[in-house]
Amino acid sequence: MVVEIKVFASLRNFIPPSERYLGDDKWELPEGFKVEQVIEMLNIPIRQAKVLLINGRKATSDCFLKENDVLHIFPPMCGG
Amino acid sequence: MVSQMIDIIVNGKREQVPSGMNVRKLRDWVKPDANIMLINGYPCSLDEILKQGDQILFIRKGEVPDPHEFDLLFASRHSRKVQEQMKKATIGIAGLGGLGSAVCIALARMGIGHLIVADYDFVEPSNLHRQQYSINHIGMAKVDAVVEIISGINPYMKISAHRVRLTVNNISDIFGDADIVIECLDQPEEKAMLIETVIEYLPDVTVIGASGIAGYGRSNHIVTRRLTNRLFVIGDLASEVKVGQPLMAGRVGIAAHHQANLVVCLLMKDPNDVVADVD
Repeated sequence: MVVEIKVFASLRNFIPPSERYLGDDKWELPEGFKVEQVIEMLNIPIRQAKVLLINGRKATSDCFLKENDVLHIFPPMCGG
Repeated sequence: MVSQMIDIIVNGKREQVPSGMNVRKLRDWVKPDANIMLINGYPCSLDEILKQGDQILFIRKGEVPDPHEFDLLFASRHSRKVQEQMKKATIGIAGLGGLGSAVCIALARMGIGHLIVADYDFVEPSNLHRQQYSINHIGMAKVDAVVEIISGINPYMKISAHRVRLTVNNISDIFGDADIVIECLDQPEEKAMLIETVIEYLPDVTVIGASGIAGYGRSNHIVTRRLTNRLFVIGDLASEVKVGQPLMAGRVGIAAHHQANLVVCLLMKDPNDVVADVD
């Protein structure tokens, strides 16, 4: 399945080269992949993946992804 | 010979005056003690000749405008079209520190109709280096201090103040009437919780967060980003608060005014003008 994964700011630095990457933030993932598996695949420390959204709605690391989902992963936000 | 008449608006009222009349003559007729004159939002001289469709505002220095005059002042400065959107908007401010206190003041100066503010904290001396409080506010609840400051700027704006720590359980009740909620908290856990809760439980509300505003330098690295259709983040997304890189008034103020300006753009349905072309 193809899933769009938007990773922000410092988290981009963790992402290793991958054959699964299709360009334009799109990734080819196995069916039944979970958010936590994406985080692991992208080599992002789990504590750095602070805010997770699937299709603009709050998600957790144990959520399953499906075809054409858009996953946002934000680092911890700071400053106020 | 009958002189030609022109239509103008004087202090909010439609009037007909002879063509060729100057501001001085109109002032002497409408408000002789006025010493501030605005035509279409801009200061003018007494000798300026009035034109068809002009909007003129006469004010006397030292006189506090009444609610109607205040509204006219905003409209004359911002345009009626913008002012109408500002006046009917309800904006939530979560946190009244460096960001929140500055955003509140900017929104008050821009004539927002209703502010909902929430913070549990009190003003301390250590806040004064970047937050919009003064010595007189030390010891006051921040919500009370903000109400006092705002009342001195825009006394006719409605403010709903909540001295409370924001949690998953009270955010919907507090900000349920808001069009936009501005996240101005300082702890990463609280920032994430506020954003997630608004996105999850207030589906009609847009959130403007902030991240990466610490330190000095790199003013132009603070940008407005649209992350999803309802979530914007201001900052460089990187500069965390740490030893040697504290929050400072300059960058915090830049970020706060990005947030305030984005509110206007969203209310005018034109956010793309201010969103950076980066992710």
